[in-house]
Amino acid sequence: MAKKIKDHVVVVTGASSGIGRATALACAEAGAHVVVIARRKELLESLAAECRGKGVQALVFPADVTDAEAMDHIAAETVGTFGRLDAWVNNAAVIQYGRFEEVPLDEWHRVIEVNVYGTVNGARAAIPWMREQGRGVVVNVASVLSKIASPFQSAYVTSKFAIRGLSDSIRQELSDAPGIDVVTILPGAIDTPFFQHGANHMGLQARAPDPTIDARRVAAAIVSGIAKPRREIVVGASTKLGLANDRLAPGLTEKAAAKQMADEQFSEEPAEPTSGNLFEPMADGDGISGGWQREGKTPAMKVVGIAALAGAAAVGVLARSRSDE
Amino acid sequence: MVSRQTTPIGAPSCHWREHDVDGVRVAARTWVTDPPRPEPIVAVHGLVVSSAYMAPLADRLSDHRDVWAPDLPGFGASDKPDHVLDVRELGRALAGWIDAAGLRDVVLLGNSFGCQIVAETTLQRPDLVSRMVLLGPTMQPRLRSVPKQLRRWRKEQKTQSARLKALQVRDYAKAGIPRAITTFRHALHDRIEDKLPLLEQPTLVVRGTDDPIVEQDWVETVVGLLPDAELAVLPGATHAINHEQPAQTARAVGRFLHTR
Repeated sequence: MAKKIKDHVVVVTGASSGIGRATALACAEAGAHVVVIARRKELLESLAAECRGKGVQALVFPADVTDAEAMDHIAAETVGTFGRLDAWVNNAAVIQYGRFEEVPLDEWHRVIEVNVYGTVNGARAAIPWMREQGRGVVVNVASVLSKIASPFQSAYVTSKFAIRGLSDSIRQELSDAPGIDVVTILPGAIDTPFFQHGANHMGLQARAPDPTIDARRVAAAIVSGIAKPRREIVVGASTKLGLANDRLAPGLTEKAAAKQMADEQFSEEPAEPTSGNLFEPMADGDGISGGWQREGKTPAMKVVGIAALAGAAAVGVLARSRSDE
Repeated sequence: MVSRQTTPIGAPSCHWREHDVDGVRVAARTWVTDPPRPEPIVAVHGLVVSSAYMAPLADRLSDHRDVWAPDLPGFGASDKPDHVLDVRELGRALAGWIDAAGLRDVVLLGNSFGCQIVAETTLQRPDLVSRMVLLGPTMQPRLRSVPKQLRRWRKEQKTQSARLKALQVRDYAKAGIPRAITTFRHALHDRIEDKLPLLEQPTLVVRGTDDPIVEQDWVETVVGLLPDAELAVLPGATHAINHEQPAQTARAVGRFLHTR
């Protein structure tokens, strides 16, 4: 697979930390040249240096994905420099925690602006060039929350549902351009600084719900999606289970997710209200990991619960396939 | 080569034009609007083909500028002079043709050996040339020997499309093998590295990462020798970049034309 994206040119948004940073490095590792976008310039520079160390070219563009003109400029600069644009990864995202009717509305809007309009701006910047060259892949990083909702993060869930709909709609439009693909990535809870970066009005510190997945696994899924595009790529066994449950029993899954997320996405530690990184980037949280992975600490009851759900899912799938016969 | 499904509205189509240069008829493929656009591109083919080799790139570039792609005297559809021209004579002929065609402030663009003629022409007549574009410039001093070049050339053959190979066979036949060999000898002896420091025009140097003839350290040397040059390294592109990756090349050239 690594060979398949050798010499490709891949643009990654939200590249300063987390999934974006891991993706840029995974692409460079596979021999692709990278163009990295985020607001934090120093982090992009260090990332680019690391990529260049792997023998590829790297361009750095400090920019906010909500700036459509900047995204257009970056796309033009990319093709002007390399003559090609093989993939554009819309990854940048922010989150706001709190009760829907209580959280500041400007923050709520800002989440939609970054996550949805950021994706819109990236795709609109990239697709005209891809049409001209007759090929390309738009990768939109959505979430398991694009299909199953969660409480106390209504803006984020809304944005992620929107990204999936947007991806599907663009994919339908691009049926006239068989060389261009739109890939939606559906990760579960990923171990990145994302949770610490969120705006928070819950009064409690946010945390990544267990079990968290290594961001490099999402990066590998994105690289594989560029090399061999498909509609949707689900990352994480627990994510796959959750989505299977959702297909079988959407109402039950919604209720179960509500309870699980209410329990797990906040710690007991109190927290002052904050806008997080929504309007200004935060200094801390500069790596791929957010320090959420706790080896061997997945509670025993959860494992049992997951296994039971898996069993239920299997029975359900079996029943369905029987009834199809 | 990537063929274009649609040509943008207003982009000119290709027409042949002929001019008399010191008694030799020189034919050129041209993509010219009426009225002509300023700063036309003159695309100079490499060894030993013809303007057909520049056509895919020229077609793309004609969205931005008028493009003229002459067949150098002795090659393609142009007349054959009584002897095989060396690099200096080819440079003089090209400058004469630019005058005869009434062109001014041209962007001289060459590929491979065509870059040596671009450098020679610019050295002789800097007044004609506003900027240069060197795509896969030869001749790397370290590889300046017949066996080394032949080995590289055979490697390069493997990167060529069937269409380019067919075009080469046709154009080699037109020029004749003795002319090909003599021109190659002239190219081998031409020291482009001595001329580059004297060429002050803003220049774009382009290399494809899969070019077996032109090495990365050589194009970096070329950029270093030129007083005002920048480098574009195109991932996955080959040596016959104007024929094999015209869209990719046109994008890099387009950026240079618009930003400099």
